[in-house]
Amino acid sequence: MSPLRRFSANRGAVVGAALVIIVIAFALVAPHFGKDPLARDIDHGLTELGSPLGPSSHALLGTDHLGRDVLARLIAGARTSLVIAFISTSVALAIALLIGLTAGYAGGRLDAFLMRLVDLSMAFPVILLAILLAALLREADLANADAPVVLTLGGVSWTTMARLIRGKAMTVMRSEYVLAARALGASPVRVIVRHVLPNVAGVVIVVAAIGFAQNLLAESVLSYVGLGPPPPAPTWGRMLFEGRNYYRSAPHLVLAPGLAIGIAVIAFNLLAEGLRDALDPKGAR
Amino acid sequence: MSLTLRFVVRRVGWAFVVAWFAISVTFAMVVAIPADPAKALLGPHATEETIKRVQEHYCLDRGFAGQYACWMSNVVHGDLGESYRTKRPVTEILAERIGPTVMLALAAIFLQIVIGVPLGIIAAWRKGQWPDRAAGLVGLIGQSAPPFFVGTLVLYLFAFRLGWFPISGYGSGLLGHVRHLVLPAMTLATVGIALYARVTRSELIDSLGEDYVRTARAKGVRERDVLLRHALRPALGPLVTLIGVDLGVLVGGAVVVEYIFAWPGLGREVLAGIFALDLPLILGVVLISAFAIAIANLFADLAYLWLDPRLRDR
Amino acid sequence: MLLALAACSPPSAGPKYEAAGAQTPHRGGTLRFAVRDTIPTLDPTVAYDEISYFALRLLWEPLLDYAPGSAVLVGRLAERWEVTENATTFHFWLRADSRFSDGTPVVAADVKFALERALRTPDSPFSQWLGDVTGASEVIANKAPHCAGISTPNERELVIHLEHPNAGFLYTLAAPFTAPQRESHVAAVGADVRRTPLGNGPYMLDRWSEGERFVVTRNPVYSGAQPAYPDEIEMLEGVARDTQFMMLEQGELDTAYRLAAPDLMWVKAQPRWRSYVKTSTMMNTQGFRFDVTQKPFDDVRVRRAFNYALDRAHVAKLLVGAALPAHGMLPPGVLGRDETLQPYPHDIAKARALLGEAGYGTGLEVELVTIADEDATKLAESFQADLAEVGVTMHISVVAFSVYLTALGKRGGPALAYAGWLGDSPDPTSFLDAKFASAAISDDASPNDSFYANPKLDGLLDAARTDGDSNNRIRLYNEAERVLADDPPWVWAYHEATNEVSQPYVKGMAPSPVWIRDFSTVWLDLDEHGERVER
Repeated sequence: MSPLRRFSANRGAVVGAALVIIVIAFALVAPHFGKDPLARDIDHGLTELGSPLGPSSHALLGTDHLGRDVLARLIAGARTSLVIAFISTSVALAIALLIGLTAGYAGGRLDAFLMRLVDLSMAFPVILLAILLAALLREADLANADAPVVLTLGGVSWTTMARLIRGKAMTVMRSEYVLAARALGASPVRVIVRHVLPNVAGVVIVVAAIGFAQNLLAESVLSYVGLGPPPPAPTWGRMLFEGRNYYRSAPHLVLAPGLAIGIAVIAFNLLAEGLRDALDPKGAR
Repeated sequence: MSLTLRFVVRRVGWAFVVAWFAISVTFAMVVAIPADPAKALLGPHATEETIKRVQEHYCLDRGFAGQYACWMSNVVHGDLGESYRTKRPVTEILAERIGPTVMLALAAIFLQIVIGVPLGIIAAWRKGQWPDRAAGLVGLIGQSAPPFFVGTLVLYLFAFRLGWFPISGYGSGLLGHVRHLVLPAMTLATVGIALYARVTRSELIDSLGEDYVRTARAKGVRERDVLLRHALRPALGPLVTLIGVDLGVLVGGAVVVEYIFAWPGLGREVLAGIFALDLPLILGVVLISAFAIAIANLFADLAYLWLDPRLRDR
Repeated sequence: MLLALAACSPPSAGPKYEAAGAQTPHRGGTLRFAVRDTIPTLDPTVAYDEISYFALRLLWEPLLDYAPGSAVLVGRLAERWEVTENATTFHFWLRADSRFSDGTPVVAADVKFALERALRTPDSPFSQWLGDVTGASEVIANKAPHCAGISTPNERELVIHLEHPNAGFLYTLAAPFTAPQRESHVAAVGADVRRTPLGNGPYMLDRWSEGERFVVTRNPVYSGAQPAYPDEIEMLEGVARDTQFMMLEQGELDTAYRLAAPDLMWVKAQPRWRSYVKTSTMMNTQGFRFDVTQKPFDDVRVRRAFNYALDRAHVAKLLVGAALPAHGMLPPGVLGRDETLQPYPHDIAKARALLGEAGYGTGLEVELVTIADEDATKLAESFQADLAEVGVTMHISVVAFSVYLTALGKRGGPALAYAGWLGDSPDPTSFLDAKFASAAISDDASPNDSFYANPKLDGLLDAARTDGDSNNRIRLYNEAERVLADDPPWVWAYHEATNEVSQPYVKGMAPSPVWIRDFSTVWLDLDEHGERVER
């Protein structure tokens, strides 16, 4: 069976792919959606007491703590959130592949050195790095306000990936077929590309999907120290963070971004799983 | 000296190098933040004279090299200095906070293993069937929920609405600690359970395709034994790596979870320290977590060698 | 699934317990409450935060304090006191029967020691509070062992002499760092002074597991005026605000305070809880501060326009009513607040006209620096939308609190920033001199972070500070308020109110505008066995 045939035979993967397309379409349609995600309505968008309004025909998913339309913010936030998660995961994966594969292939001293480098990066408090980057990049006046978030997330989430990739690569390097290939004089690049990479692809896809899921939300944790896209820009993580204490007085502020994130995460994971199974040569046996 | 012993000695030496490096980089990072610890300590009401006095007292007026020398001279004498915020010796704070943190880390890893691994085994065994899909879904939900969110909900539901567990705090006595431990450990383990399940599944599926497993099957070994004896053993390698990573990282502090559940560990302490730019305290916690990570990884690698004999001669 | 379960409303939302029905206050019971952070230290000479103050005020009794629920000074350790006409000499007579919790009597030298210890301790934030005392600078500079301006004619009398008159100095002597400390005890315990308090207050330390729980019991030798009704007071440390409220509902706490907006909304919507919510004003002012030396805020018309742009009614609603619109720096209850002044009205046309006059009719772009605080972010986002209506684009930049604090006091720092100010005392000097006098300007860490210098204001503040007559002071500060309203260095937004919810059996709670929480008159209405009455 070809990978494509295998993929389309996997119901989960097809559902995932469809959902991913919907989510991306959702993000693309944002600028063309009628309601203004930033329009606050304190007089009519909040109750007498100042509490957000629940879902109604006026606002399909209710209003937030400033009387803004939650649905409009959810749609407007899709693009920013997905782009942040995607880029930061790619950054992390690139670092992790470089370090993990090199360490796993070379072994010995280089491996030991690189793994100590990983140890080192794990010992830093992430929040400290976030404060530093937020402060420094604010002064650097970067054109893109999301850059500090992407750099922080990418800079801290590669370590576990690197360890897992290196572990798998080490195992692969010891397997009979790689030993055979090396004995036959295959070049390092050929060994990595033909033998190691396909065999670590499964792990890579799994960790990348997990990294993506976590980065979709990690930005909301960084809001604790003010590192995140600056307000009032809506992102899903920020919406969840702002709504986190409303689970009793206005549960839709938790439910709406929570479900959006949940659906996106499930979609990308199903897709990743499907890809893994379709590409994995052994899965076919 | 045996090979393994030499390996261990070298790695412990490395731990010191890594720790020294980690605190030096952290030091540079804190100094690079455009914020004055003296100002953070004294608040907006402080006059310039008061701030100067505090800067002098804590070596903050000496630039990076001077401050670094000031701190290192303490460390050489086995003294990590005094926390700016609480005026308490950092060693004393660390000694008091490490216990609760290690307890929480072990509990979380325990849950990750006893829940995550069986889920992964079931999923691999029934690959593509409903148990696989159900486990996958549970995993997806687990890994997509951030701790501040899970923590708040779990606390509200199980402690407040259902009253099964205490709402917050550390409790007293072993039983008290355990009762207070359940919810924070569950929250902390949510992401880990999902990750462990997925890695176990993915590794098992790989090794089920290996020749020796097929040989075992061909020899008529029961399916359960194939799975648990032959296929699982090599799959444990990446899992052990993960446990090592988690153990080290969790000792560095589960910041958000400790904060939500008022758990008196290193994470909550370092969070308060970071907001106050309490340099001696931050460095103390980084030092501990650097060592914890190095040691945990050493154990993980040793276990790795023991599990996968093919690597032993490297 | 979790979400769905959490979202459905709870079966009953009301107090689990009720008052036993006693008519008069009586002793007994344990009062339990929680705080958001941990207590850094119990050493009064260095502790300078809301939470440490809760603890210290139970353990110690300074010369003076505020009458419960007010900002009026009353004698505590001091039986009576005299201030000379020109506010330079302060003479105190101490109560004869005050004792430390170990039974030894309190003498005037113990207060002198406490004050001098603050001067000598390099990292004490309080040395600057005593800056006006004669000879204080020599002690600070380590040139003299004792402070020439503090003398003890005998065991019962203490005299403090100031080099410069300061009518607001009396308030300093209500701060916990001025409470008596015994020199021999401080010397004996050494570095452990941070956790071995020896106080003269109504309670004494029973146990403190740091970062978890702080418990005090009634001090048997206390003979002062505070009734100290509860047998024990227990403070849980480091409990998040929404968690505190859940613990209150479960009956694990007797009182909770500073509820976050979502919980406050919720509790105000519950008929059975509503009547137990109390709001009270605090000595604080919130808004946005300009650096008046930087463009475009060097132009008073722009500053006025920003004041006209802010919709203060919207802000009050966003903060669930816990905000009183501000016309200036002085909150209610502070001497010299001009009650006839009105906050700037929300007037878009006027704001646009002023910006036009200043040459910004075609638009203006500014950056606001703020912190990651929930209320601060709400205020900033609301102001951002207000400004958009008058043609100003405001970008919000959120930084960590320490970064914010450092940036603000530096010359050439952010031109526009979120600002909040909590007075150290209810004296106007703590608001006006500290923030807007030109003497408070410095280059690196300026308390006057607006870099506001106005000779007319300086003249009024100097005259008011050195005048011992409170009627004169009121007149001068009224005038100062008008100067600042007309030439605003801030966008005056609101004075924050604090809130608390207590169980029905908690009686006599009198929130303090200065200390926020004050337990001196609290009593627990429990049944005859000391148990809470279930409803």
